[in-house]
Formats: sequence, structure tokens, C-alpha cells
Amino acid sequence: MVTNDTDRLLARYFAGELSPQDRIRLEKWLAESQEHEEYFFELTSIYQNMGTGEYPPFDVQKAIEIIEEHINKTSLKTLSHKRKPLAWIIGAAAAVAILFFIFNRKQDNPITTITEKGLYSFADSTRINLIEGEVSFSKNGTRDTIYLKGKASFEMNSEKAESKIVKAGNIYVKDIGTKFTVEANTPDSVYVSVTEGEVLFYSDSNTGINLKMSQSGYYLSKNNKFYKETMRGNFQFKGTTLSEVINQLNTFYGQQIELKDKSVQDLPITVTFTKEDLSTILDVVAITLNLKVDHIGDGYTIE
Amino acid sequence: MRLTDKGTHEALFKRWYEPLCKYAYSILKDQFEAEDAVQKVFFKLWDDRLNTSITVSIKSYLYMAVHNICLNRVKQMKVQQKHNQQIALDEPVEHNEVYESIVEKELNYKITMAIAQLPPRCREVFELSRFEMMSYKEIAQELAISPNTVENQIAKALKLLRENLKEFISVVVLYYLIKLIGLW
Repeated sequence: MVTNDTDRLLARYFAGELSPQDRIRLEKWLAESQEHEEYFFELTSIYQNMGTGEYPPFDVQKAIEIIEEHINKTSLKTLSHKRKPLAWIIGAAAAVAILFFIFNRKQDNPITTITEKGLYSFADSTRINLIEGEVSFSKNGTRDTIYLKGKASFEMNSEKAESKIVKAGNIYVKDIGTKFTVEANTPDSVYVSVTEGEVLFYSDSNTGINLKMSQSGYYLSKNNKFYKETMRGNFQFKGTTLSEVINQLNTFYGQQIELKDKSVQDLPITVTFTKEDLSTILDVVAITLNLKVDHIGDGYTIE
Repeated sequence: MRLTDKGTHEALFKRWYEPLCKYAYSILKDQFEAEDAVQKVFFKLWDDRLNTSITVSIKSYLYMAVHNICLNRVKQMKVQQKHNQQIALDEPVEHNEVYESIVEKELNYKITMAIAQLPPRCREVFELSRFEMMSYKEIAQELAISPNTVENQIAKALKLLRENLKEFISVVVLYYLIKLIGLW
């Protein structure tokens, strides 16, 4: 369904006023139905044809040669950077992207700056996959500070990680032994997604939020607030026992779902969930198996 | 969806390069800039293939990426004071197909009429956004209205234009689809 909110969202998109959170909302809306996509492309077509009705000839063959050259060049380069490819890919696959903007770089006297894309491993087990932009390192006595401008993914060793902080203006992401990602397309917002472990996401004037494995959140500077994003997962259960279903949900959502009545733990369930939040999934499971779900604190109980 | 395969990437490039260039050209009004913007999107898609997870259709992803990179480029050019809309008029334009010209001229006429039929304030705001590439803030200052009103008027304009052009747009979309798969 296309609502007034959607019209305003689309207005922001075409006017170039989309925030990172708007972009996520727009992508979710587009993925919801074919009808939404058709609506989007009707507007895109109008927008395009308003710009011009006449086009110059584009040299497709020359462009193909350019893209092939780029692919071949970067393929070779990527190979040379792969030190532990499998482990990294597993980490990166669950990650989104990290985008940090540097605002106050001068205050910590960066020691070194890397601008070449690729995967870098350091003596303290920190690994950084620089995708674009640059990353700088500095020490201010008691802790390491990492500045990133552009896009990268981080992986930090749990024993060493407590001294690591990634800084973006007055926003900090303190790593507590994990792989995590952040996205900040504009200086007024930062998006964090955690692949493994846990991070503390905070600012100078706000104690912030903790994000655990599979959780993501964002910060908006205009109100200095941190938000946890509702997680939506894809699951396909085919005759899966309830205990296994709970196990998978606990792992993905990082929440505690407790099964009070153990006599129902072997009940099988067959259902597919696409981009659903935990509350909806538990409601469906409960209705299907004639059980009751209670939301207590940060967790759920099923009985 | 992740695009880690070289063959898939090249196939996508062949299929979408030209339509995306046209889209980029409609914003940037410069052939070189338009081609550069589209190539950058495909470079990025390839370079980030292990980290980019696409949750929408590939067509939506590509158009959104090109839209974003073009608007950013317009902002850069504005800052550099090098953006010259006249460039587009100096570019050679190829018109090989009579029908293409007829369809596009008819569409331009319909669009011009649809824009003219917008309520005056709505039209004014929309034209500043689309043709002058002005931001909400700039339009708000120019017309002494709030950015919220700017957004409302643009949303209203898009909705009205879609409604007024709906029947004709479906013909045009079909026409471009036929062209795209090479049946024309």
C-alpha cells in the first residue's frame, strides 16, 4: 500500500534528501511487493523523462572493455590481500558495511594512514578490510583510537579489544571482542551492525546502547539519541522441533526465549518466515502449536 | 543477494548500462559525467561484492545507486560552480528511429502539460527541485516557506504527475522494455 508517508519518502528520494535511515525504509518498502516497485519505476520514468527526451549515443562496447579491465585488475589485487580468506568472508558476509567520517582527527595525532583498499592484519590481531577511503591509527596513552573515513569492516581480538575505540566525531563504538560494522552516510547519523560479540555505541553526552551479535542500531545527531533496529530474520522450518526453533531464534536475535513446559519441546513445526521480527514469529509459532507467549523484560517465555 | 560472480556482473552491465546512462544523463545533462557515474556504480558493485547485500531487485538497486551518485555529483558541481546546464544542448544527439522520436516528443508534450496543470505553488516547488536541482533548504529560503512544506509539495507533485501520466507512462515503459530486450 502506498501511504502519505511513502509519498513523502519518495519525495525525499527524488529530491536527494534521503537520510541513511530513509534509505533503509525505502529499500524495505520496495522489497515488500511488486506493486511498490512498479509505483517506484513509474515515478522514476516520469522523473527521467522530465530531465530530457533526447539522449546522446552511449558507447556500450568501450564501457564493457573498461569494466572488464577493472574486474581483472581488482581480482588480482584482492587475491594478493587474502591472508585468511575463508574466515574473513564468513565474518564479512554477515556484515553490512562500515562508514565513518572523521571530524576531530587532529586531537589524537594519527601515526599512520592507509588509503589502499584491502585486508590488513595487525600484530594485536586487529583486522581491517578497507573498502574505500582511508583509515588512520593513533594512541592517546591508555587506548588505541582508530579513525576511518570511507568504508571498511573491523575484526578485533577479544583479549585485546577492550582498548579499542572507533571514533566518528563525538560518537564512539567501543569494541568488546567482536566483528562489527557501521554505516554513516552523513555526519548526522551513524549505523552500527554487529556480526559477532558486542559493542558499546555511545557519544560524549549519551551513555548509548549495547549491541550484541546480529543486532543493529543507529544514532541521530539531531536529537542525540541511539536506536536499536528491529531485527527481521528469514527462517525455514520443516518439521523442526520446537526446541530447535527456539535455539535458532535465540542465536539469531540474541534474546532469551525460555520454554517453560519441556513436554512440548519435541513438537514439530513447518513454516517459513521472510523478514519477520521475533515477536511476530513467536506469535505464529504459539498459535500453530496452541501455546502461550509472554514478553518479560528483554526475554520471552513459552508455555 | 550477493553478486560475486564475474559473468553475472558483466551480464548485468551489458543489460543495464545504456538505460542507466540515459537515466544519469537526464539528471547530469552531460554524456561523460553520465557514463562515469554509471561506471562508478558498477565498479563499486564489483569492489564491494563480498560486503554488499542487495535486499531489493537488482534493477531498483542500480537505479537508486545511479540516482544517488548523480545527485551527489550535482551537489559537487554546484559547489565547484562548474555545473553548466547548457552542456546538454551542445551534445550531439542521435535520432535514428522515427518512432522513438515520436514517442519521446509526445511524452515530453504530455509531461509539459501535466506540469503546467499542477497547482501554482506545487509546480513552483517541484520545478525548483527537479530542474534547478535545489535542496529543500534552498527552496524553502527562496520561497520563504518551511522545508516541511517543500517536501509536502514535492510529494503532491509526484503523486499528481503519476496520476495524470499513468496511462501514457505504461505505454512508454512498455516501449522501453521492448527496446531493452531488442525486439524493436
